[in-house]
Amino acid sequence: MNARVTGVVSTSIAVLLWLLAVVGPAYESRHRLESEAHVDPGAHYVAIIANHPQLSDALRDRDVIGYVSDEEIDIRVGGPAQARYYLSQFALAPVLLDLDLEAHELRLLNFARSEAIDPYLNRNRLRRLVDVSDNIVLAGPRGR
Amino acid sequence: MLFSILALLVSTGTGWCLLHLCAGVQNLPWLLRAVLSCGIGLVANSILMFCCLMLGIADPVTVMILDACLFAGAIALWLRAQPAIEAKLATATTTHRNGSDRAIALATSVAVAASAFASLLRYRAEPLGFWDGFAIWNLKAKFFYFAGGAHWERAFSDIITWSHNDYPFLLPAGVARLWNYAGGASTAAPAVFSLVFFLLSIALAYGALRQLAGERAAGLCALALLASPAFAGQAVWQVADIPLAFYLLGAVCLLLLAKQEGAATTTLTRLAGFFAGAGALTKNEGLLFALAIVVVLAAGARKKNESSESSDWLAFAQGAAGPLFVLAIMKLGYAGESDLAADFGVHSLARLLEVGRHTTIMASFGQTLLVLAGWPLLVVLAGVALWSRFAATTGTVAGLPIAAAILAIQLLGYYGVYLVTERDLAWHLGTSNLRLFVQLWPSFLVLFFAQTAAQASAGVDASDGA
Repeated sequence: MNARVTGVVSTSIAVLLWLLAVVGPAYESRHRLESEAHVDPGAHYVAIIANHPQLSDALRDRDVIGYVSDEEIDIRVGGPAQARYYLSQFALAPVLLDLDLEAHELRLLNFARSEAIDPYLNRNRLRRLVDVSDNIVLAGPRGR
Repeated sequence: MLFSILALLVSTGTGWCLLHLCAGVQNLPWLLRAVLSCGIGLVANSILMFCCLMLGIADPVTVMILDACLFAGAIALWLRAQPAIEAKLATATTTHRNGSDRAIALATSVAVAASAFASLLRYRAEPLGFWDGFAIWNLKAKFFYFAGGAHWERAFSDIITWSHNDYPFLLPAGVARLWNYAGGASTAAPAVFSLVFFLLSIALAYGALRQLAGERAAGLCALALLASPAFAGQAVWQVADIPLAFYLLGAVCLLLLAKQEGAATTTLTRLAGFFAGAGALTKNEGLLFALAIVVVLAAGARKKNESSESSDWLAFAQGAAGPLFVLAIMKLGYAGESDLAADFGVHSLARLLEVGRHTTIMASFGQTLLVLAGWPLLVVLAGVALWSRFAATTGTVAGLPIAAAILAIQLLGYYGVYLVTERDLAWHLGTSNLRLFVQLWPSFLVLFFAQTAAQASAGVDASDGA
């Protein structure tokens, strides 16, 4: 094959690839610049938990605490309850959040419905130690 | 942020000195050496960080002092070895760029800048990256970082098996190291780390292919990588798949360069082993890749019965031994059981005969390829393949069958895991298949463009000769 033809064909391919490589990012950048207010809610969620001073103080020197949700957490299925659990664990590391509650007197309640928190506390003879947000509470045993 | 970049520069400097202890690499172009240096340095510093954690001395000041000592030691070794290496040096090859080559290099640079800018905006909107970023990799990094690494073993706790407490440490140790330099666990450091591996992958594909098949093929390959929506889209996901893709690509490119260089085979093959070992330190799939290379090289040696071929896999194994030794310490001493292995039983093998699973996996592979590359790029690649086949069929790249066999074994391994997995197949495919393809995509594109360039040039030569 003629070298000139080869050059023309490969230049055409280069132009096509360049367009594909530049148009996608350029379009995405324009879209993101136009809607710059949007930030992933997960990042806000982590910031609220990780930067809560009372919660940090309460968990200082703790290795493991319990973690409770009012929705089923199935790590093979996914969903909002699982996302909240993972984000909470990420926010509070190096403290471990254990779904197996038996051995833990401190529990982080992370509920989808805030009205479900008090019944849970009464049922398990727990009290609020730290209110992190409407639906997130650090709870401990009563009588202290 | 600036201190994180300083940490990356220290790694690159350390890697540069360590790389140049190997006779034979001096003939490689500076871009390729710089990229390989960064990859080597990041492995060295992550291993050092992990050793600090094991010894209980991973506070920021100690980590930085030990990094500086490693850098100084590497410089001293490099300076000491320099005269002996220079004596062995062949004349360095210089390549001359014509106008069209310069235009392709410029176009590639513009595309890289556009992609990096889009990635930074993506990071601004999604600072935590992808789900696995905060659920696995950066979570481990937090255990490695906080309280001077005092709680690092919690990363392997059975309480968080969902965080894959058997996964290797290169990425989280690297991120924790950047946090040590930065003085805080910001979201910027893992995003920068992630973006650096993305850019290194592009630069490695470009630099290696430029050496193997010329500037034009290198530019086309880099552009094709940047034009792959799922690959470019994961640049700031903060997960291990692009870092793994980088190390696997390094192993493949170094094997191809070793075959091309001939005389420097042992050095480059040993380096390929190191990169494959680094892949195993990055993610479990890297272990399969290292094994696949040993199998292919050993099979090649057995078939040809040549001493040079048999020394290939030995040199490869020597290079991989260091990273794999550290990995063995982590796996045997600290890591939990792999959930995939734990679920596996003899009864799982019965699934091999379920036709429906085969069709589901193959359909998913096809769909994933479409998502990874996008149909416009696939059409262009098909056009390139057809054109190069039309041009000639005689040209080939030395070592390409070996590299293709390695990628095929790796893909077959992924297929086999999906076939016998205890998990819901659709869920397993849906949550992992795209990232597995991302791991192999740069290596595949390098082989693709190396081969098409070789065929096209063979066609030109034949035509000119006639």
